[in-house]
Amino acid sequence: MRNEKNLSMKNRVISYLRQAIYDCKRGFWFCWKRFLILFIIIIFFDFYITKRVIDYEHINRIKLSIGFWDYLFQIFQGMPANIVQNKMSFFELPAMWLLFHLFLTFCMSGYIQQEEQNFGQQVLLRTKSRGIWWSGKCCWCILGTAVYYCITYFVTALFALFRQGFQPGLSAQLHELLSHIDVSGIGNKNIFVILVLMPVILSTGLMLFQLLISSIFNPLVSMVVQTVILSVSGYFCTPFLPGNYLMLMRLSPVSGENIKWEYGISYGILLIAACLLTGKIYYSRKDLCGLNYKQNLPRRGK
Amino acid sequence: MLIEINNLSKEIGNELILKDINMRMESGHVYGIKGKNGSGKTMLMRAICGLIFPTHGSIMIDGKELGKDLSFPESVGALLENPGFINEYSGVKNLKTLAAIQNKVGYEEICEVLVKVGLDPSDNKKFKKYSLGMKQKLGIAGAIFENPELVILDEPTNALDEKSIVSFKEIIKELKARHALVIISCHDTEDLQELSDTIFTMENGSITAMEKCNPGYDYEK
Repeated sequence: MRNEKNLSMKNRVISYLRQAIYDCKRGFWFCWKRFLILFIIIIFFDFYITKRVIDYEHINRIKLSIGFWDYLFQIFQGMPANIVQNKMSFFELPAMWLLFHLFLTFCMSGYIQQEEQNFGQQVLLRTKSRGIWWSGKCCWCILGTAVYYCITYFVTALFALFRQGFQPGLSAQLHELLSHIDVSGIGNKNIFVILVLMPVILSTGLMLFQLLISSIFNPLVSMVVQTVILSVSGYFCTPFLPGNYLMLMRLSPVSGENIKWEYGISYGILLIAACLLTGKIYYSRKDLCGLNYKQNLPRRGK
Repeated sequence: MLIEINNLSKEIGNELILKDINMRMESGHVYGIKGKNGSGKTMLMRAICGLIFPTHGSIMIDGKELGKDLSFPESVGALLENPGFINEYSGVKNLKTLAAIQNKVGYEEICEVLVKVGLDPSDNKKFKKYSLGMKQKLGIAGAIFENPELVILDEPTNALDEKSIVSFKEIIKELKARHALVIISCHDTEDLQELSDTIFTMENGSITAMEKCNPGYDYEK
C-alpha cells in the first residue's frame, strides 16, 4: 500500500528491526520448553547411536571410529531409495529422521496463531504494516530453525568430544557396518555443506511453508501437510520432493541418485523466497477478526 | 483528525456484519456506540483500526483511504474485546514490550498511566494472576499510554467497580481536552450519555439512530 511505500527507508529498517526483535523474543519465549525437550531427544538419539556402535564393537571385536559428523550423518541419513524399489519389503520411515523433522514442525507451530490474537494485534497497530509484521514472524521462524539445528549440533558435539574428540571426515567403515552405505564419495569439503548448510536452508524453507499453511488453515493442518511431504518424499525418490534432500542416504555421492546437494540448497532458497512473498500477499488481504470468528477470509473485491 | 465512513459494508462468509454505515467523526469529540451483543460494534471498531477490510464502501482518515492509502491509522490506541496481554509478564513489562515497537514513551510515562487507571506500577504480579477488573484497567492503559490521536475503547467499563469508572471518566475528559478522537462502545446508556458528544445506535450491523448529547463534563478549554 502507498503508505507503506512512503515510509522512509530508514523508518522501514527501524520498524523491521523492532518487529524482528519483538518476534524473536516472543517466539523463543513461546517455544523454549519445546527446545528443552529437543535437548532430551537429541541426547536420546546420540545415546542410541553410541550404543549401536558399542554393540557392533562388542560383537565384531573391533574398534570403530565415530566422530561429530558421523553422529550427525546417522541422525540425518533417512532411508535409501532402493528399499522402496524392492516391492517385497515393507515401507517404514526411519523413526529418528522423522521425529527430528516433525518435532521441528511442532516447535515452530502455533506462534503465529497466538500473534493474530489480542496482543499481536496491538503490536500490529503500532507497527502499522502487515508486511513488516509478517516479516517479523518469518525472522523468528528462520532463527528458530537455526537454533533447533544449533542445539542438535551442540549436543552431538558434546557426545563426540566425550567419545573420542573431534575428527574430520566421515568414518567409511562405521557407516558400512551400521547402514550398509558407502560414504567415501562424500569429500571432506562437502561435509559441512550436506550436514549443516543444506539441511538448515531446506528446513528453513519447509518451516516457512508450514508457517504459511498454519496461517491460512491452522497448526494441525500444517503438521499434517509436513507429515505428508516427509512421508511421500520417503516413498518417492525424486529431486522434486524436498524430503529427499534431507535424507542424506539419497544424496548422489552416496546413492548415485539424482539428488544433489546443490539442488537441495536451491530448492530451499526458492521455497524461502516464495513463502516470504506469498505470506506478505496473504496478510495484506487478511481480515483479523479476533477470537469471535472462526474463519478469517481474504478480502473480497469492492 | 477527521474520520469519514462512507457506505461501509462488511460481509464475512455469507453474513453481512456491517451494512451501509455512514459516519463522520472529528478530533476533540467523544463518540459513543451502543447496541446489543452482535450488533456490529466491535467489527466497526476493527474496521476503523484497519484490522478488517470493507467489502463495500470506504473509511477515510484525514482524506486518506484506509486499506489503500493507509494500512492503519497513523496514531491509534485500541481496546478491542477482551484485553489480551502476555500472561507471563507483569503489567509494566507488557506495556514496555508494546512501547518498544514505536519507542514513543518511556518507563515514567508507563507508570504514570498505570497509576491513572488504578494499577500499581511496582506490582510484579503476572498478567495471568490479574482479576478481570485489573485486566480491563491494563487494557485501557494499553490503549492510551502512547497518547494516540485516535482512541477506540470497546466496552471499557466491563468489570470495573464504581471508583474505577469514575477514574475512567476522568481519563476520557483528559483525552478530549488534548483533542483526541475517542470512540467508546458501552452497554450502559447512562455512562455513554454522560461521556459522549454523539451516540450512534447500532442494530444488526446498521446505524439506526444518532443523538447529540450534552456530556456531563465541561470539556471546553
